[in-house]
Amino acid sequence: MKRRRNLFVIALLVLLVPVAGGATYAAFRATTTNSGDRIEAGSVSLSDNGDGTSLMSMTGGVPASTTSACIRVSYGGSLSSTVRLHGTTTGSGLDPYLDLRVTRGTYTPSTPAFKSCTNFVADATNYIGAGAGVIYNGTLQGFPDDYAGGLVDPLPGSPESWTNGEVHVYRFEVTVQNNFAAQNLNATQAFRWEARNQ
Amino acid sequence: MSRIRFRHAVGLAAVVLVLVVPVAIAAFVATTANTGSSFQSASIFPGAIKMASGTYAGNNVDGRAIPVGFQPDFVIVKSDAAREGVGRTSTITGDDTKPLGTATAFTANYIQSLTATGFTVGNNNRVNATGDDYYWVAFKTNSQAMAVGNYTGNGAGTRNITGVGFQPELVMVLGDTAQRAVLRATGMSRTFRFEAGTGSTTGVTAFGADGFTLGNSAEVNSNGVAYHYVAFNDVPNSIDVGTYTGNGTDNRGIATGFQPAYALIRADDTGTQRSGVHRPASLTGASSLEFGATALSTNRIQALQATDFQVGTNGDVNSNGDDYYYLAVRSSAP
Repeated sequence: MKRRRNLFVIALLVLLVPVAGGATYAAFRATTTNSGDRIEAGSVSLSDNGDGTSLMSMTGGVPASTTSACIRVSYGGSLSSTVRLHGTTTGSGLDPYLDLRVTRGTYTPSTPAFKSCTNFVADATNYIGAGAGVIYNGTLQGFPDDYAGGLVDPLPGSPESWTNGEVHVYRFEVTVQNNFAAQNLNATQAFRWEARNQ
Repeated sequence: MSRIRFRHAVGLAAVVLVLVVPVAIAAFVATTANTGSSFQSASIFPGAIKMASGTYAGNNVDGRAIPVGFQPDFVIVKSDAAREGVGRTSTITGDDTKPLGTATAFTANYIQSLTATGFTVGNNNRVNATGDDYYWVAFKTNSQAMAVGNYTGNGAGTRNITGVGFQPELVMVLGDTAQRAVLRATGMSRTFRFEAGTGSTTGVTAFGADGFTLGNSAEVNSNGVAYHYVAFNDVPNSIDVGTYTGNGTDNRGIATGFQPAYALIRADDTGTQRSGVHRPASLTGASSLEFGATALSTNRIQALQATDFQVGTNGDVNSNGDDYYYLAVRSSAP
C-alpha cells in the first residue's frame, strides 16, 4: 500500500515537471486591426472607434489655444481585465507646455462620429479631485509613457474590472500654457489603452 | 529508515521544482491605440518681443553690417564714449537716423539701413569710430506688444494717431526736424526728451485704445514734418512699463517679474532737468548709457537681474521723492 502511495507521489511529480516547467503562458496581443484572434482558453480584446486618423491636431497654438477630441474604447474579451492608459511622446519639446485633461464618460444618447465629443457625458465620479470623470489632469509630458507607469483606469486605488461588452468614452483636451518658452515647438503623442487580465 | 530517506528525497525534489523550474504565467494582453496626435505652437506668441542687444568695436568702415539675427524694426546705438546716441525705425527710409541727444533732424551716415539680418552703420563717430565700443539694442515689432509707424505733422493742437493696434503704454517720437526726440509713458505728467529736460505739455498728451494723442509741440507735430513713432504695450512677462518713486537708496531693485534684456528710465521731474538712461543686456559691469554725448555712466541702472533691474542713487534714476517711469523688455521670442 505504502509502495503504491510512493509510486503515486512520484508519478504526480513526473506529471508536474512538464506542466510547471513548460506552461509559460505567453502574452497574447490583440489589436483593433487583428480582431480575429481567438483563444479558446479565454481572451482579452480592446478596440476603439478610430477611423485611422489621429485623434487631435493643433497648429499655430498660442497661449490658451485648446483642442479636444473623444474616442470610444470597447472591451471584447471573455476574461475580465484592468486597463491602463499610456503613450509615448516625440517632438521638439512642446509637451511640458501643454496641459492635458482626460475625462472618462459615455456617449448619451447616441454615438457621434469619431473624435466628436457631441453627446459626451462625463462619469459622475470625481476620481482625482479635478472634476467629474477626470482621470488625468497634468501636462502632456507627465502623461505616462508605458504600462508600468500607466494611468490605471479609472483610479489606481479602485481599478475597474472591464468585462465583455464594456464601453467607455475618453475626452482629451489639450491647452497651450501661457509661457513664452512654448513658442515654436512641437509634440506628437500616442494614446494607448492596454488591458491585462491580471 | 529507507522510507524516511525516500520521503526526504521526494520533499527535496518538490522544493527544487518550485525553486528551480520557472513558472511564468503572463497576463493576456490587448491594446488599442491612437497615434500621431500632433501639436505645433506658433513661432512667436502674441505679445512676445523678439529683441537682441550686442556690442561692437568701431572700425570706421562705412557700410558695416552689424548682425542681429533678424530684421529689426527699431535700433538704438550708443557709444561708450561721450558721443550722442542715435535711433532708427523701419519706417524711416534711406540713409537717415535720428540723433537722440540733440535737436537735430534725421542725419545720414549713422544707421544706414535695417536689413534682413541686422543693420548697417556708416563711419560717423556716433556709430563707428575706431577705438570706441558701441552698444546696440534691436527690437522686432509684434502686433500686441510693439509697433512702429509714421505720420506727417499738421500743427493742430489736438491730433489723434491711430492704427497702433493696441493701447500704448509708452510712445517715443522721432521727428525729421531740428527738434529733440521725445517719449512719454502712461502716467507721466509731461512728454520728455530722451536727454536732459523738464518736459513739454504739448507733446504726447494722451493714450487711447488704438493709439495716442498729440499736441502741437514741434517735437511731435509741426506742420509738414515727418515723424516716426515707436509704441510699446505692457505685456505680462514680456514688457513692463512701470513707475516707482525714488528713495535715494543705493542698489535698489525695481521689480519687473522677469529678467529684462533692456531697461530705460526717465524721470518725471518738471523742475530739475534729468536725463533718460538705458541699459541693454550686452552692457557689463555697473555702467549704463545715456542718450546725450556722455560716456558710460555709473550709479544709474547698475544691473539687469532675474526679476528686476537695479538702480543706484543718481538723480536720473533714484532721487528721493521723484517719480520715475521705466520700460523693461524681456527677450521673449525665439
